[in-house]
Amino acid sequence: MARGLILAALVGLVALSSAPLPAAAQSGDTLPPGVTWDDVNRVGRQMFCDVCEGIPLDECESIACVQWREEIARQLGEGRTDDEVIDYFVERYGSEVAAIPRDPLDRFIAFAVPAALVAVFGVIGLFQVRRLRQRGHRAGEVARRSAVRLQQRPVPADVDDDILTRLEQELEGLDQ
Amino acid sequence: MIAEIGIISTGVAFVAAAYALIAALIGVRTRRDAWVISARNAALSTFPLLTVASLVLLYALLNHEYSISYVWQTTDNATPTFYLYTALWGSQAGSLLFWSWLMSAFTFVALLLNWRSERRLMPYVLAATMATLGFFLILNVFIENPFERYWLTPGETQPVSALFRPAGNSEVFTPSDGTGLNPLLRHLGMVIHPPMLYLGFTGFVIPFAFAFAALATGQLGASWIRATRVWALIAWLFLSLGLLLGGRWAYDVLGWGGYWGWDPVENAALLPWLTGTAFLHSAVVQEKRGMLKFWNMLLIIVTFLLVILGTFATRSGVVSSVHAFAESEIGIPMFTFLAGSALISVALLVWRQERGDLRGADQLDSVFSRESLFLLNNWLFLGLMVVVLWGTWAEAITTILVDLGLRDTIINLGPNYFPPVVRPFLVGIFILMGLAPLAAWRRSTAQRLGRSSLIPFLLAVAVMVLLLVTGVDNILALFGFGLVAFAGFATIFEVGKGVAARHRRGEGYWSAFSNLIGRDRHRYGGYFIHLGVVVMGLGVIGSTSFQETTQQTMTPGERLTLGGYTMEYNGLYDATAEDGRRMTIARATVYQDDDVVAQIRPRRDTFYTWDSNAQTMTPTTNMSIPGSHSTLSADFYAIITFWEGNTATFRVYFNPLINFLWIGGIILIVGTLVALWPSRQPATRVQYAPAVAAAQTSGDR
Amino acid sequence: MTEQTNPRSPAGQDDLPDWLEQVTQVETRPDEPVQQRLSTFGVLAILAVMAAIFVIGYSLYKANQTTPTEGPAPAFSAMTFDDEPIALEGWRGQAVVVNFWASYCAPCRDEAPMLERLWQDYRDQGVVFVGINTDDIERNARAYLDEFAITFYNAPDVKGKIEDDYRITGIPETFVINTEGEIVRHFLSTPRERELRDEIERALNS
Repeated sequence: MARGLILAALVGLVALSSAPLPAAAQSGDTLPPGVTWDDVNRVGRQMFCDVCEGIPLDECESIACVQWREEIARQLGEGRTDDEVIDYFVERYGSEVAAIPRDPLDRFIAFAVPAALVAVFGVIGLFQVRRLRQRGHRAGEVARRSAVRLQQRPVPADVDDDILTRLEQELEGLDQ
Repeated sequence: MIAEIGIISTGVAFVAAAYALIAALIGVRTRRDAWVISARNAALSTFPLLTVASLVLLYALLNHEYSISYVWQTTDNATPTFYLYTALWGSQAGSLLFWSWLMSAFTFVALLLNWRSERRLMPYVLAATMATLGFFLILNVFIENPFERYWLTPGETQPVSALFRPAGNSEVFTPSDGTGLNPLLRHLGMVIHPPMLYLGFTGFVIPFAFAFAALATGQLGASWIRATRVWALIAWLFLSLGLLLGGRWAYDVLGWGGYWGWDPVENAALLPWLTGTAFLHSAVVQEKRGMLKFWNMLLIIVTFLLVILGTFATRSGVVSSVHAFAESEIGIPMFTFLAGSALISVALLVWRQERGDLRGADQLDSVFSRESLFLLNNWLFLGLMVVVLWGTWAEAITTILVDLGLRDTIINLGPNYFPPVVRPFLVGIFILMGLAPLAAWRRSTAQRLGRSSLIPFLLAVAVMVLLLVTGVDNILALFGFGLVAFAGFATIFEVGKGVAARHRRGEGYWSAFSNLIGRDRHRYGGYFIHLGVVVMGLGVIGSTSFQETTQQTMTPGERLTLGGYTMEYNGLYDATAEDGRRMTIARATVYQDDDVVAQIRPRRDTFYTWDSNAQTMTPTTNMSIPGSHSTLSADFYAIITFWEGNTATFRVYFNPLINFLWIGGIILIVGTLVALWPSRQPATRVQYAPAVAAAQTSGDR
Repeated sequence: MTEQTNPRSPAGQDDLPDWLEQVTQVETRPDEPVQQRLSTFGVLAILAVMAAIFVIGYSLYKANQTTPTEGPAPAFSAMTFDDEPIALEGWRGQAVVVNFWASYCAPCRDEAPMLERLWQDYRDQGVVFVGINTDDIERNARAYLDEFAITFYNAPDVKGKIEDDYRITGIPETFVINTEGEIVRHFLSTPRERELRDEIERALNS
């Protein structure tokens, strides 16, 4: 695909925002005492890189992200907790930096919307099942919404005889 | 010369598609068959025309015709022949042409196979397919034309890319070498992944076209489903393959230890897969019981719209993703097509629903019947789709709210958001996967269902107890394993019951098994697919819940431990590959319980290009290739994140059961092939009596 | 579209084979006019589609917006690294050069001395230089300012609002704004000194 094009654009963006990456520029080795890379990654996994689109901070390799990770390491070394570090970044760089919203209300909305949708679907589904069950009880009566008459239709309207035969064959095997 | 052939053939194909669309609609309006036949011929002609265009582009690629700007952008003199072929879809313009070609091919076959048996649907099928093809050809002819060439006007220093000769005595300019394909794309998985996805996407257009025709003509029985069931399954097969390959490529090459990032573009391919899966299941109910007509219409329409949305979102830069294409001007036309087809198809669906034409044998004899479980399945998949859609588009929606002043901040949802939200749906789906094959059609009771599912349930509990005893203490994972095991055992049980029944009548086990499958390939292929999904489920639970990772800086001789493995770092060395990339390779030995298990070589590849400003080769892309030791039980996977001198920082992953994911994927593919294999039984087709057929074709709808 | 009016079965059911009709003895009456009314479901469905189309369309509109190269410059206010509040409106009547930079950006380092030099040349002629620091760690930014001995205003872009308003696609980017507050020139990447001087002159004389 034209991933080539966007990768070219991405490279262009990286080139604009940082030097082309010679290996040694990835200064990844200055950790304060008591802080491990795992700690940094634990925090970084919950954040996004603001410079590169859509890449979590612990995976991003641009020089900006390397510096951000160093800053995370430095703050962890000062004794801040994970949450404090993430909140600092969100405060400074905007809410897009966090992978899950920090603001409790936003977080609630993020999870409430699907929950609400599920509830709505569940209610509609239950009503639908109830209505279909009632029709099942009143054997074969199908009420049309747009017309006022009832119709006796014990067998579905569009059925082949082949399918009827197969149905009967299958029904045979059920009563065991 | 060849560029002209390409330009003309795509142009004529566009005219043919547009004509076919108009002629089909005229034929419907005036009820004259001659128009419909003419439309059909025009539609059929698009396939050879686009084949010519694609072959022309392929020829240009193979012969390094750099005067064509597309060839220049995607290949260079050093590109191996294999990648010359695959450059056909390597960039925007070529991939659009490839898409159009696939669309015309599918339409060609669908028209020929179904012309006689679904005659009444044909005018609208033509309309829908030609509208879609015509739209993509608009993109291909007027906006992203792969046959643009470079022209140099005397007096200008830079050649300009254009379709037709610019003013001022310009001549075609042929560069001596191209830019070459991006290194990240030079991987087998990355090469096959796009065409698989395109096959899946375009494949779903055919069932949609038939559904559209059914809505338009009122032929709302199961005939449209029967005609397109195989298409839908084939499209689903390719879409699944595309998703699997994408995951595998990400795992192999991108080096972040995972296979699915919940990236917006990944989700864009997942969404139609979800509704497509629901459609495949729900269609069975309509064929067998005449129920769920509205659902099937809704599902296939939504699948089609999600396909267009997915293509649009990927190519127009609308979602912030690492995958997205660079911005181009196709955004607005694609949006127009998406909006137009959404409005038309939903309006048609609502109209038919309001009239009551989509009423079928809508009655449920029991909540525990198979129809009821299929209905629940529909709801679960639809809900899952909506939730993933929300997660992907929350940022866009809240951006609007921010711009309207209703909110302060944008809600941005990352990969951590999706698993907890998606899990409840997966739980339900796996439960249904186990229960539904055990449930009976029509009348059923809770006791009956409970009786049939008792043994699989007990076996699943036994598995959970076994895992608990052997030290697995993660409650969620335990529950997940039990659930997946239940679905697996239930499926095996169903197959076993059938084999046992035949065996009782005197067949040997193996012949009973193969005859059983042969008799009902669709059903037993489906069971294999479910087994594949079960195995994949095991892989996902293992590699998510029990993944361990660490990152450490090491000097040669140092060791690190993870997941029962010990890795000793031996040293670093440099090498240069044939295509000019510089590789920095680390050697490491992997031990398990003091036994040498593997030698792994994670490495970093740096690609260089010529920088004319600096007059030197400068590094551009940097790839991280993992070194891994794969067994059935786990992957031990290491990548280099940084190095200086001989000191290297490694990020190491321990991914248990990850290979179950790929194995399950293979089982899924095999199962689909079994389901697709033509049955020995004669096809059950509705045969119209000649008189009726003649009356219908003359007084055509 | 025509309806096949079969008096024995209502619209949409002409698939029913004869023998089955006889078996089930469907009683029918001639078709009553079907009421065409849009129920709640229909309204909701159409509304949902239109809402979705709106969301997608708006996102496309936003994605297609490009960096402003003319017209009124987006307003901004910020707090400099020296804790001094600044705002674009406060410089109406002067030409303003807005430069987006970060400490990890190599071309920014290349152009920093030139920017400082131009600032020294033009500060008495009614030109203001402002550096906006994007996505940068504060201590690195301050170190950068010290390294190049930069004296013009520099402020961090809190929450990325200024870079969003100016829709920059990378750094460095430089905007030249005239005395009326309109953008006269946008430089993508490092401008040549001669060109920048010309643009500043143009902005002063507008």
